[in-house]
Amino acid sequence: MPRIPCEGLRTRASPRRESSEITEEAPGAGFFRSLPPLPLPPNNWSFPGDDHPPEQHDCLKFCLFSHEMAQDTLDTSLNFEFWLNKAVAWGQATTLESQQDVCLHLPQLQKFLQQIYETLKHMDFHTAIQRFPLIGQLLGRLCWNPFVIGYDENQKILMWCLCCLYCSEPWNTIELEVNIWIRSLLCHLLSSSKLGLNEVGTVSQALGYTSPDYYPKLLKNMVLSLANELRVNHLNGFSIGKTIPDKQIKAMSLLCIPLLTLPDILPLLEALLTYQGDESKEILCSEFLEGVNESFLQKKIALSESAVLSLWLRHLPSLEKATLHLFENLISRHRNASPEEMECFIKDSLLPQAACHPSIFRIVDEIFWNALLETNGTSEVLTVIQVFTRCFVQAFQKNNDQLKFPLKSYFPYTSPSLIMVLLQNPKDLPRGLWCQHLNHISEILKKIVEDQSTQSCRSLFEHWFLFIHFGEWADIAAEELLMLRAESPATLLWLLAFYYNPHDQNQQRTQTMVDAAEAHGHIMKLFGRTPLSVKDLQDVTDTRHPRIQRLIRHLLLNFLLLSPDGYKIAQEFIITQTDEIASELLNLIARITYRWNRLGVETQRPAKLAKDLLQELQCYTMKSEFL
Amino acid sequence: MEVLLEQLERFAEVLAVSRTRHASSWGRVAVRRSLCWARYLRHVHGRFRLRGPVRAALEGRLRRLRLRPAPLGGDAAPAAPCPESGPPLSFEGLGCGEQLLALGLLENASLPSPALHELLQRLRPEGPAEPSEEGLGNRLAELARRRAASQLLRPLLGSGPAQPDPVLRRTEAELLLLRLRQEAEAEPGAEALLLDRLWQQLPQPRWLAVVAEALLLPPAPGPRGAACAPDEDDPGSPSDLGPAPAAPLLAWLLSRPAPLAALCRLLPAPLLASLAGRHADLAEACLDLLWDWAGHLHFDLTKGAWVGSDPEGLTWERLRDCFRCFCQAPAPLSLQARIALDSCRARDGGFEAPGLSVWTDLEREERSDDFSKITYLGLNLRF
Repeated sequence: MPRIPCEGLRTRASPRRESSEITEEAPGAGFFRSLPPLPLPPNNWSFPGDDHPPEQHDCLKFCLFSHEMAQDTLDTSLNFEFWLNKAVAWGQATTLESQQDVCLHLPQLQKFLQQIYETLKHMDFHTAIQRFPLIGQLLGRLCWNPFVIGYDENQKILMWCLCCLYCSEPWNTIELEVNIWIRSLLCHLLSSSKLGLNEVGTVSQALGYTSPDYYPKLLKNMVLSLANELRVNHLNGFSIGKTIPDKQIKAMSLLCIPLLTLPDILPLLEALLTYQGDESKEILCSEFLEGVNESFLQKKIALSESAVLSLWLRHLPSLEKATLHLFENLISRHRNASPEEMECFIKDSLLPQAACHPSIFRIVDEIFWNALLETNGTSEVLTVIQVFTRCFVQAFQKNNDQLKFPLKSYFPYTSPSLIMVLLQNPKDLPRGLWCQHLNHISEILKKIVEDQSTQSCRSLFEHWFLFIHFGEWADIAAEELLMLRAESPATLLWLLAFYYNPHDQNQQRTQTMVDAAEAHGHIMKLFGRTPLSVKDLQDVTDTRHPRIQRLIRHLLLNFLLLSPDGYKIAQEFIITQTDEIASELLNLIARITYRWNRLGVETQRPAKLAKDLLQELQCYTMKSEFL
Repeated sequence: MEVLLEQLERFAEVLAVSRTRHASSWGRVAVRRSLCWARYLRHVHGRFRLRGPVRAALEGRLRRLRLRPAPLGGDAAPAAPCPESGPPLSFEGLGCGEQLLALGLLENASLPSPALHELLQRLRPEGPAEPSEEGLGNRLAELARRRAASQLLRPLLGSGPAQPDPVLRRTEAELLLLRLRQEAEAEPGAEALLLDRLWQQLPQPRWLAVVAEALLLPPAPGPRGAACAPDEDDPGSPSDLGPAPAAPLLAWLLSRPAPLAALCRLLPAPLLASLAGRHADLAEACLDLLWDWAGHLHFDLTKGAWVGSDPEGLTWERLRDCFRCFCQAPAPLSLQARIALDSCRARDGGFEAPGLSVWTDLEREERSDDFSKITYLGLNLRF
């Protein structure tokens, strides 16, 4: 928590002087200045004098007081001093500087007020005043600052604090005066009669409406009017000339910061987000853009897809934060989420929809690329990329009529023919043609890899990364290999070998292929073995081929799910593996069941068994983690 | 049902008393009970707000309470409107009865400290009232937040206190139309009585600005349709006004000579032309009035200008401004105004010389080049 000394207080005019300046002005000299005088608590409560700036004395007194308190008290007290300084400096937030400063501090202020309330609620009036002699100064000032009142739950906490301080049975003049002051401050905070908006009441009250009736309607009309003005201005920007200068639009975005989570102002937020100035530089406050993004990620506001797209297009840090937020959700917070659940999270994030704009896709993809490299391609990250791509393709196919972006703009460094074959949805292809399609993919990739001597290493990895996006075809290749449906197993094995070992050089790849073929042959022999034991499976994985372990596990897992005998010992085999390998296998099963569900094989026996196995293993893992 | 109506009536009384000096006798128990009552009626409102005979019965009883002229008797506070007791309870008011009660008590300096303390305890999250999410404190805080939002956004609308605020007018106009519809639904003809009362009660320029705004509000697209999605929580939202929401207001205006005359006399000429352009019946009535007023002008040879016989009547400048705006409005209003000018001029003899017929001079003004240079702000420019 930031702490600053009292200089700010000492250089500012006394609040009473501010108040008198306000009252001396002609009515209507400015909306904020036209507010009634700032009410302060009774003098003998907060110790201010009329003839000198009270804060100097109070701060000194307060500092002496705070030295006597315990450490936690000291902390709160110093924070108290900081926030009182701030409240004095802000006034009613009439200047741009003070408005920016208020907006910057609002989240911290709310935390502080919450702390104060937590302390006050256990105290009676006298203890509270001993502990916080200037509490009235602070609350009084904050209650007059519309930025503070408008922000999130500030108005509620201020109300609670004032309620705590009210004396049930006042015994002396001070308590009576304090009660009167609290009542008037609460009236100011909650009621509409002294707002500078008095004229609102005349007609509405004559019609029998009250403030809870007309304030929501008034606000709604204000918001719609401003949003409409922005839209008209935006259109005029291309023809006649604008009526709202960019500076005012920036001020508008600043004023919206405290109100971001208020549902009523959503149309204005969206109009601001989709508004483009004529200059290349950003005209909206960066704090506003950050705030909107944060509120959206925390699900405090529900923005339209177009508004989110505008936000991420105009503010790169927000897009990066949104992508990392999604990753964090999928990898850490919802670690055991199934691909179906992942799909919901991903779609809900609106990132796949926004990624239909190539600029956004490329940045999200770059983050995926880094995640893949940094995690050494763990199964979870592979699954996230695969599911995200699936969601993106759905959104792309749905929106492409309007957007008209060529596929090449999403994957500029890869072969267009490879993109086209990988984009093929297996569901739209008869099952009998899957192997043929896989051969086609394999041939294209092989050609690229073999030609890579003339290309950069990055190009090879770009193609591999593209293949990772559509990793479903690698999963199908493994399944086809086990079901003996492949006319040319070597082609499919090559595909899998490339999937898991993209960095192999020529000779290494030849060796990988030999090892993979041997392992595949070994696994296929297991179909005939009875009884089948875990030891037989371990023999396959404990082979001499450390470089293709993941490929072998992928094939072996398909064997476990597709062979009746394999299924019986699948659980036993998986739980004997290390945590890392078990997690990889679980992830593979989840991906396989997800694919089977979508392809409509869920009613078939292997799909049911795989689903049961997944559930049992997840229960087992959870129990082991718990123990 | 009768029990419910009785309870409703009692609550309306309690609410009215809470805003008067009679609340000085309230203690903790009275506050607790009244809030409990308000909560019960909020549930009633939530249950029956989507029309139905129960809502009609409740609205009917509230209407009767509003129209009741005298206090209930004895020292009891009146349920009928009086300056001290604030606006009378409406059906929508039942939905936020707790807030109204709390605000009334809070603003009432007569309420003793223990009673107010009881109320304030109920605004806190640990308070003995409902679970915090649905609590009274939350609803009041929400209101405070919206008010702060209005405060923050209002300077952006470019209107200061010296300038009329179109958004404010629009809101009031929507509320007016909403209330008119509710009154008409409750009892045919009630809306005219309400308008008569408002005409007498409110300051004329302000009231006329709201009436003009209401007559200019775009109609909703379909029956009970809306420019935007109807508010589920708010069945009486302005977007739910229906296809011709201003019809009762227009009918009232056309049938009441005094408000119509005030409208023609006081409304800025361009605004009057917009209204006449929107409503053909109103255009006809306005032209009739202008024709009538023009008949009271005579040419003062000493001043060389048209002057009115009645010092409070219509001036030549006003007549000229109105005809200018009418003639320059889109058809058919411009056509209607020109035909009126031509026929009146012909009836006066069709002379070309100035000072003989007010219609000739109006037409000359309209034709002259200088005429088009006048700013359209209703300023009294002399040639």
